[in-house]
Amino acid sequence: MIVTVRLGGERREVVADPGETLDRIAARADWPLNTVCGGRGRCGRCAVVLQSGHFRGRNAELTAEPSHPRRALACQMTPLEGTPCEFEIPASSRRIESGRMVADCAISLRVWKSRLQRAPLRRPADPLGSPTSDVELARDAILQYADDVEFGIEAVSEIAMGLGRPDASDVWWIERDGRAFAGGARAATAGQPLGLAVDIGTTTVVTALVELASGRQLANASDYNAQLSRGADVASRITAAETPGGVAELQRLVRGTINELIQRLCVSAGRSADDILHVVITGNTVMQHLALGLPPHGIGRIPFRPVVRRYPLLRAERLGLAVGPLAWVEAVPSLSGHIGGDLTADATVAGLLQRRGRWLLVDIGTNGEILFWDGHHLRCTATAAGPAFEGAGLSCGMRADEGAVERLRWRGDHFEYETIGGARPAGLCGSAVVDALAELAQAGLMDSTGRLDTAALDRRGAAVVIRQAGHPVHAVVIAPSEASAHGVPVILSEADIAEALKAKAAIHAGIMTLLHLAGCGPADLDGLILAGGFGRHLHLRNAMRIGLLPELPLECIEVIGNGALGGALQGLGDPAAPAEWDRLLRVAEPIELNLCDKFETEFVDSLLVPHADPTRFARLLASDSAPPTQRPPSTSRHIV
Amino acid sequence: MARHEALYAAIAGGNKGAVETILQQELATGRSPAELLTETMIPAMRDVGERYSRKEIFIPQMMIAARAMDAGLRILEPLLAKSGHEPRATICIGTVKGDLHDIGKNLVAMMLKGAGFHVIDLGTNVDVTKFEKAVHDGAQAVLMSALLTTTMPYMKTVADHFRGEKGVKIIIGGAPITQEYADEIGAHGYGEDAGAAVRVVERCLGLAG
Ligand code: B12
Repeated sequence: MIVTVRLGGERREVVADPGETLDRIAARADWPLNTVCGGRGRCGRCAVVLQSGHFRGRNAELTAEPSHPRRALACQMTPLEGTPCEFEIPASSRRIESGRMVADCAISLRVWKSRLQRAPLRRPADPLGSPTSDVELARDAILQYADDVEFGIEAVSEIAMGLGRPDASDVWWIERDGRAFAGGARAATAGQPLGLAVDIGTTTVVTALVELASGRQLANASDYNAQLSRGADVASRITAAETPGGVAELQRLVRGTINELIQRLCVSAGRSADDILHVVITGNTVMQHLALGLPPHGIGRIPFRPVVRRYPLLRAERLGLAVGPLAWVEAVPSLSGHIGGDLTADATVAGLLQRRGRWLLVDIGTNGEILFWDGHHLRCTATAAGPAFEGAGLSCGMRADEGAVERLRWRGDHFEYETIGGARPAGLCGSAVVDALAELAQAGLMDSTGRLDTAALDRRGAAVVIRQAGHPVHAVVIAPSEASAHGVPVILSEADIAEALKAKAAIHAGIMTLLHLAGCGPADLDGLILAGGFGRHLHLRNAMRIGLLPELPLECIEVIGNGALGGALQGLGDPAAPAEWDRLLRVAEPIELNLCDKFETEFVDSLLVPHADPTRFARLLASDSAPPTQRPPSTSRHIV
Repeated sequence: MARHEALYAAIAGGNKGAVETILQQELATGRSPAELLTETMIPAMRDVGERYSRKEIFIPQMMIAARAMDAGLRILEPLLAKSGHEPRATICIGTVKGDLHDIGKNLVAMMLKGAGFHVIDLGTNVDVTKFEKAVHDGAQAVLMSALLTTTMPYMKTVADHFRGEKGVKIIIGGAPITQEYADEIGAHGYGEDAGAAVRVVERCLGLAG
């Protein structure tokens, strides 16, 4: 049968096999969907809008008409013969690169000094004079710059071949703690050596290509981690890795993503991938293990022990990366099974250990990682927030992508909102969820436990009842169907609110538990560094109003954006970086929150808005009764 | 005795302070702890559990109600023990080996206590041996909780261990657990949430609700 698929203004017709699900049909139309949970109907990220025809879902049949479109999960729906079936793909459900995942780290390195260096091989004028071997010839060249040098077999054979070639005039190496690791020989006329920084997230992989000599960033590229087809969170990846051949399969998948990105980077920069000679990889511990082909099993259960924290240096060839085969690949050390190289990178680029006083570093993702430095101890922990702030698992949640509502303000009888790209609203991203909770609470339309005042909302025409798992659930309308991108209203239900409250509670309780262990409170902090993409777009005051972050003066919060990628870049251009990584490894004290008595009570207390003990947010609540000082959303005003 | 409305409301609304004050006052005037528990507190908590199952309320409201109930039970438990109040049955509960998530498990344990069961709480990271010992000590049902997909398979290990041991019921739950999984490993029951946990224990042990 023929099914019509629409996206934006475009339509494509696909011949579908009987029983084929809509996500497969979309993929055949060359518009693959964002099936994060592997098509199990769990993640809600492949939602489409059924425009016409009969469809069969998991439990029931559905009929859609243009006048009555229905939202449904593509992976759970099959079109039925007999009627012309048509569905539309919201931009938010497509698996494509998002402009917003890209590498925006707010910290730039003060000085750039490539860790990859090269020196001319001086062939002796008198061939019979010293030195006594080719490698020693190369060594003498390197020792002009480093105290010590190591030649692996690859470097030795490269130099053997290189010296035989008249054009091989240089030897190159990377430096780590004053020691040189010989790379190989290279023609002086070859392209400028390039470096690659890679941040492997559970969901997205972000890369940057730099010219090593100058530190100039030539291109950025990011894409979904192809491992998504094997589950959305680290725990499900570990489960997948435990199946026979699982590790190799997962390694192959992420390698595919990285290699594709490399190709894109090189095309857009007009450079050759063979010139990439130094790669620095960061990411959470499970992703780093899988990228290197190491089993992450130990991280899955008590005592959550990784195979290795300080990864050995290796050659790209061994990993099958599509860069210069002899390129050195380094992975930023992980601090524990749940605190990966991405946090080490965040901490390095933020200069955490150089700071005086007491500092928190918080990276909010599916896992909220928290580091607390008080000048002596670096306590660190991971708190499982779940994906609510990444837009997953909510009825209208979506990534921070075109059409996502990212800012909200309650205007007495409707929401005023801002969307990414100024498009019609298609869903809510994490920052909008935080705004919605804060605004509803302040307007008295939501109580401290997250229940909506449905009567009051109804009087303003902003209440709806949706069905969830067969039960009616109250929801507030953020954007009505007339205004929205897909003809279905953008809403936030009480179930969504409960999910978001769990996520914020996990993070807040993690922060408070670490502070408590150190015997201090938020007032004792000199500052809080917020890393990660979500933090970058968060309305900080609202984050405090709902009790996601502790109450702090706004000027004490530093937002650094993608510090993980920033830290990986630093690994390419700061000879002091590896020593700093090692220092972090030495001082890190991983804390298992479950073993802290205080955590559970704090988690339950933090489920309330802002908290069971609102006096902790007293200053903020007091100033809320005064006229607001923060600027209102700047663009598009829509009336509900 | 009729149900104590203020106490009922305090539990359902999660007002821990009020629960404590009311209980102290009532006990001082000589009210029977067993009656306060069975006529008011258990029905209040049961109602909370059911509203949670019907998605009328969500985790935050449920958790604070549970905490208020817990505070009340803390006051009543020693008095009940003294008065020889008979539990309906004995069960043991624990989060399986490898897993330390216990908030959901504690809630289930609390609901069961609230419903009149004697609960042996084995804590987290519980292996077969510990479950075995609890059964030896009289537990008629083994309740297991797991929140990680990596630790769920351990439930099968425990279920296999008790298979054939007559009378011991295996009941499982936790966010990643489904009825299908329960069937697959041969568990006798599965509960989606804390409200359902009480119902499934009652059903498995053949007790009227
Ligand atoms: C709080 C929390 C934690 C706390 C745990 C504190 C504690 N003492 O329990 C902390 C921060 C320590 C933590 C740590 C980890 N967590 Co955690 N955590 C959560 C979180 C946010 C909420 C879980 C919760 O308590 N829910 C509330 C309770 C009431 O619900 P519940 O447990 O489901 O229980 C209900 C039902 O399931 C049922 N039930 C439960 N047990 C039983 C038993 C029986 C017999 C019956 C009948 C019913 C039943 O009744 C309960 C009440 O209705 C979830 C994410 C989320 N948003 O849900 C992640 C989550 C469970 N954690 C996760 C992970 C990966 C971890 C970590 C491994 C990694 C990390 N650091 O983040 C660690 C290590 C865990 C460990 N040591 O075992 C993942 C699991 C993913 C997966 N596929 O397995 C989740 C889903 C988050 C995510 N998406 O990444 N976590």
